[in-house]
Parts: sequence; structure tokens; C-alpha cells
Amino acid sequence: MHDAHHAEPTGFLSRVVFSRDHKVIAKQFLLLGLLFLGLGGILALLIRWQLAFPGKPVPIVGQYLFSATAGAISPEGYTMLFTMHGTIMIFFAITPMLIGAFGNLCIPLMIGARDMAFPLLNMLSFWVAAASGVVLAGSFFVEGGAAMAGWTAYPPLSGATATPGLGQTLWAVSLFLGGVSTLMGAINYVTTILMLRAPGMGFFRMPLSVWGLGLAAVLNILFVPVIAAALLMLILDRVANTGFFVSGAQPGSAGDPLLFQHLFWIFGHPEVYILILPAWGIVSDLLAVFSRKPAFGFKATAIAMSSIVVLSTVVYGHHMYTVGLSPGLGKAFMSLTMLISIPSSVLFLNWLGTIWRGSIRLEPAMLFALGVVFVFGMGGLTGLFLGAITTDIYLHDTAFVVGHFHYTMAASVLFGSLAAIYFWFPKMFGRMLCPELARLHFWFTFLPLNLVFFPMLIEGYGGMPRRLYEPTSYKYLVQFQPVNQLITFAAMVLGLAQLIFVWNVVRSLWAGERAPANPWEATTLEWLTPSPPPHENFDVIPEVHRGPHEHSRPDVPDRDWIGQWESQAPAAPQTPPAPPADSEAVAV
Amino acid sequence: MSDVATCEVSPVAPAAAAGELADVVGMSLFLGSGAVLFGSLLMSYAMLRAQQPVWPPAGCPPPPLLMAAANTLVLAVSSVSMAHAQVLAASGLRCVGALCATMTLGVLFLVLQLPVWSALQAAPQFGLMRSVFLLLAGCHALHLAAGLGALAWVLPGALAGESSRHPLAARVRLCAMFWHFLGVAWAALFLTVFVF
Ligand code: HEM
Ligand SMILES: [Cu+2]
Repeated sequence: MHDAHHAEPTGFLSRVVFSRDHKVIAKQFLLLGLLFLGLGGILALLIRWQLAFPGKPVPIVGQYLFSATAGAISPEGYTMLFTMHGTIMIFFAITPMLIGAFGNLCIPLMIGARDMAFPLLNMLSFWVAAASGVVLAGSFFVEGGAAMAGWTAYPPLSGATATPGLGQTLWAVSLFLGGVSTLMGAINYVTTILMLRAPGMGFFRMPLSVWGLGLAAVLNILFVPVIAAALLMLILDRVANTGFFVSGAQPGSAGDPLLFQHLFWIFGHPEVYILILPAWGIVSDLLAVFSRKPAFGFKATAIAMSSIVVLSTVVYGHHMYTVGLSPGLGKAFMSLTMLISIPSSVLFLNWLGTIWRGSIRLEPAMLFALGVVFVFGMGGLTGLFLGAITTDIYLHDTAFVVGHFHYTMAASVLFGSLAAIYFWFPKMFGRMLCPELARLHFWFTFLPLNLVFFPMLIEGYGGMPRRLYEPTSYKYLVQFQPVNQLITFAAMVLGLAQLIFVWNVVRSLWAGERAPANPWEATTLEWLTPSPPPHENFDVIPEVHRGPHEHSRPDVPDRDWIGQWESQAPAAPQTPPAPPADSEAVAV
Repeated sequence: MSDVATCEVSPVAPAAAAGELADVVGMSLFLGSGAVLFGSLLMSYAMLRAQQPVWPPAGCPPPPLLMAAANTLVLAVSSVSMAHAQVLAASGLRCVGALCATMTLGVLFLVLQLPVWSALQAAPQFGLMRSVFLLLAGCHALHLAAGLGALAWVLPGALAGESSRHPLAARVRLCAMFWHFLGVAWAALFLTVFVF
């Protein structure tokens, strides 16, 4: 299993389908994630249609999707839409893309390993994820339709009495399988990072992407079992007449629906960090590469991410301020939550420090990384209002929450994934993407995205509840109807703009320019090996001589980067160069 | 017999040793997450039970302590035979007997669960006692079945006295880690559900 060299498999099945090569598995996860991203996006547009034009038949597709109601979306249908949208986006789009695809691609390449520690487990991880995706997608077609209890699936909504259909059970089963897959991946990632680093690759020489992915994997190992426990109980309640979350609905039942909320958020809060940590790490690396500067406060960033991991385990109660926690407990959760803003600010200021006076190259990946800096700032600031009890009691369950978590997840994490795609696509597929199309994609994503999510903050502040079927049924919300329509039009533009991306990818795969080994003049190990890397990644395992971001060293005159694998700075000319004008830009 | 493991001290040892260490690390992480799983289940049980005025809940027969104790004994002995197998394998001796004993005891454990299960079927539906037992013991039994599967997976190697790329001793050690974990999980379950 761990021998130094393996012959490359030759059959189609073992090379493309049941491959154990981390680079192939990365592509499989990317495809899975992108497909579900498309599906989740279509569901989002249907939700938006209903909010902008309540009760009106959906144009074109409505007659096929909602034939029973003459093309209009029913209340149950709407509930199903937002439930499946949230579930799909979080567990089947973002998770496979960031963690599945880039975890797989980046970890072995960036630490100088030939593959993951457990290639077979890695392959299984993908196929279990695929099975879980099939179960979830299949649940649309069972009698009664897919799940309808929100992505949070609180009982009693998700109990057998409220949602008797098979769809809700399949939802739980599919998430359980997804958890199994994630756990397999996480064990692999952590073991790989601990055991398979190339000689010289100390922890503080690892790129921040690896830090982010590794920390997310640690959180997964610790907290996926918690949601698994909750799902097991939910499934048993639904199919085996147990009564964990049932209270009163059945004679003799003495369960507690709140127990589910506790378990869900003990996992759920770390889950949002599981998603954002890889994005943070990737952005931290990308900002350094495209500012041609070392990452400002590199160690501080790594330590800040680690302390957020620790803090994220003890703040989940901020999702439950309104369930009747004892006030003392609420205050404790609030204080702990507010503590997170300290490491978050360190991280954020370090990003600004990295780009400050850098020689910025606005490649598409950099545009998206800068986009993350902006939208994550928005998400973080709006989070403060939800972390403080006094304001959260007013804002809880409003569109403000929807705006907030879309700024963090739908915007930051999604942009992080897109930045990663634009950055590593040449390494992954050996072809360059068209930068002009990519820039077009960026602007037609970034601007509409803010037009979608910023107005939601205002609507929520104005009192509009989330998960609302018919906004005009409340008099005080009628004034928001033009805003709702604006959001929906912006969302349509956003959706259409993704076609630019799809076209760019498809075009490049067939006709893109061949990618050189190191198109971005970056310094980490994956850029040492050809694009795409050969089977087992490196001819010879490289030796690591320096940290991950050695850009613009003043003593290296003719090149503004030195690879981690280079033992000596490229030869300097005989006469020492004049000292650089602004040396503080490169001092770290 | 002695050809089983003495040949392990060969030039390929460093790479193989690193691989074995990775296996142990991976298994430890897995067991860590397993501990969180059983921990979450037990915490949930604690939270539900703390809300009850009496325990066992009214109308529910007390859990069958004696049968569960027999279960516990069987599993404890199986852990001993598993440890024995590990020692034998590590010193290059034949461990087939000890492995088979462990598997037999594991199967016996599952069989002995049946009367406990049927006793609890008498408890009211939706009631907490039946729910908790179904969840905890069910989850444990499934993991134990997986443990049996793992033992079945190393058995052919033990029979053949295999000593090639993946040394038998390393595999038996992984099985033993998992098996002892199951023992500890059952002990926690036994104490919280049946004894106290
Ligand atoms: C980018 C395009 C997207 C649009 C236009 C969009 C729009 C929406 C809308 C309108 C809702 C319903 C809010 C309500 O019920 O009041 C919603 C819910 C939600 N969205 Fe998105 N979304 C997008 C992307 C994403 C992404 C990428 C994620 C996750 C990473 C995500 C996660 C969620 C979640 C978790 C919910 C809550 C579902 C529930 O209430 O159970 N969304 N989204
Ligand atoms: Cu949270």
C-alpha cells in the first residue's frame, strides 16, 4: 500500500472511473460539485421567482415541473425548494468542490507526496459521496417529493408525523452517507499531512491552503460523528418507532425536539468553518502569489486559523438564542462568539497587509481572491449583529440571516472555490483558461451577487421573515416587492453569467493553450512538477528549503520568486544590486 | 512457523514501517471519531434521561441486567484473546487459534444480544428505554459486525502464514485497536444503560 513506486494502471476503469489517483479523484469531486452547484442554482432561481412574483406560473419550465398547479409553485413545493437548495449547496456543491476536489488535488502536491496515505479509502470516499448524491437527487422523484423540513431539519417538522414521506428519510440517509464519505476523506487528509510531508516540509513551511484544508479535516473528524448521531436518531424515529425527538405526539413518548437542535448546531457551527477554512487558506496563498509578496504575518495567519478552530467548537449556542436558553448560557455563548472576531480580524488584516504595496497582478484567480476579501468582510460584519443576543432576537429568522450566511457561504466560499479553479485549472488539466472570459465571469458574478444579497439584509432589517412563501400576504412587506424583483433579476443575471464559466471550461478542455509547469510564477511544490502532473506526481520527491511564499526577495535581483524546492537563490550578478527603494514591502 | 515474521527485518523495512505507522495514525483518527459518535449518543441519552422524573420510565420493565452481564463477560474475554493474537502475531508465531477464538466470542456476543433485544421489545414503543437501547446497542452491534469482517479479512493471511508486503502483525494490530475500542464502548453502554 505504501511502496515507493506503483506502476500506472492502464485500463479505462482503473484509470478514470475507479481510480485511486488523488488527481483523478479531485476531478471527479469537482465534476460532482459543479453538477450539484448547477442544480442548486436552478432551485435558487425558482425560489426567487416565487418571492418576486408570488403565485405566478414559472415561465418555460413551470409547466413541466409544477404541472399539477398549472406551473405555479405551491407552498409545499416552495418549502421543498428551499430545503433542497440549502442542503444541496452546502453538502453537495461546496463541500465536494472545496474539500473533495481541492483537498485531494492540493494536499499531496503541495506537501510533496506521491498520493494520499490511503488511496483505496480515497476512492471509496468519492463513490460513497456519489451514492449519497444519487440518493438525494432520487428523493425528488419519490411519492410526496423530496425533503421539506428546511436544511436544518428540526423535529417535529422532520418527524414522521409532520413529514411522513419517504423523501425526508432519504434526505437523512443521504446526509449520513455524505458524512461517511467526508469522514473517510478527513482521516486521509490528516494522516497524509502528518505522515507524508517531503523532507524539509515543516508545519510552518506548509502553504496556508494546506493549513486550511487540514484544519477543516480535523473539524470534520471531530464533528461529523455528532451530526451522524443526530441523523441516526432521526432515522430511527422515522422508521423504527423510537421517540428521541418525539414528545407528546405519540402516547408514552418523552423525547426532546431541542436535543436535535443542540446536536445539529454542535456540528453545524463547526461546519461553516469547515467550509470557510479551506477558502481562507487558499485566498491567503493566492493573495501572496499575485501580490508578489510573502504572505503578511504568515505564522499569525496559521495560528489565527487554528484558534478559530478551537473557538468554533464552543459557540454553537448562538444559533439557539431564541429557543429559551437560560440567559446566563446565552451570554456565555455570546461572549465566546465575539471572541472569534479577534482571530478573524488578525486574518483579515493580514490579507490587507499582504496586498498592501504589492505588485498586484489582476489575474482572474486574484480577482476572485480579492472578491473573497470583500464579501467575507461583509459576511463577518453582518455576523456581529447575529452574534449579539439583543440584535439577534430581532433579526433571527429574517432575510437578514439569509443575507449574512450567503455573504459568508454562497459568496466567500463560492468565490474561494472559483478562485481555486482559476488558479489550479492549468495544473489539473494542463490547459489554460481564457482570461478575458474569466474576467467577464468575475464581474458578472461579483456585481449581481451583491445586488442579490445586500438587499436581503435591508429586507430582513425591515422585518421580512426567511422561508416565506408569500411576501405580499403581509401588508408591511408589500413595500419590498420592487426590491424582491430587483433581487430576482440580479439572480437571473448571476445564473446566466455562469454559462460564461461553463463555456470557458469546456472550450479550454478542447482548445485551451497548453499550460506550462508554473504559469503563475508561484513558489509552492505543485508548480515544480509538469501540468498535469505525472502519475505519482514527482519524478523525485523534492526537498524543501524554504517557506511557501518567497516572493520579491531583495537579494534576488532577476526573479521575484524562489520555489520551495530551490536550494539556492538563483545566481545573483557579480556586482551587488542597489538596495531596493521600498524595502519594507518585502520585509517579513 | 518461524518463517512467519522473522523476515520482516529486511531492507524494505523503513518504507513499510512508515506505512504501518500511517495505518496506526489513520486508525487512531477513526477511533477518535468513533469515540465522538458514541459520546454523542451517550450525551443525548443523558440529556433525555435527566428530564425524566423516574428511571426506568413508568410502564417499562427494568433492563435485563443478567443477560447483559453475560454479554459483557463474553466481550471481555474476546478482548483478551484478541490481545493474545496480537502478541503472537507480533512475535511471529501462529495466531490463527486466537483469532478464531476472538471471532467465535464475537459471534457469541451477537447471539447473546438476541434475548436482550427481545426483552426490550416488551418496552413501550416510542418510550425512551426501547429507543435508547435500540440506538446504542444497535450501533454497537453494527460496529462489532464490521469488526468481525475485519478479522475475517486477516484470517487468510494468518492461515497461510503470510509475511509479504503488508505484514500480518500490522493488520492484527489494527484489528486489535478496533476490537478493544468496541469493548470500551460496550463497557460504557453496559454501565449507563444496564447498571446505573
Ligand atoms: C448564488 C446564488 C444563490 C442564490 C440566488 C440563493 C438564494 C437563496 C434563497 C432565495 C434562499 C431562500 C431564503 C428564504 O427561504 O427566505 C436561500 C436559502 C438558502 N441558501 Fe441560497 N442562494 C444561492 C447560493 C447558495 C449557496 C452557494 C449556498 C451554500 C453554500 C446557499 C445556502 C443556502 C441555505 C443553507 C439556505 C437555507 C435553506 C433553508 O432555509 O433551509 N445558497 N438561498
Ligand atoms: Cu454559528
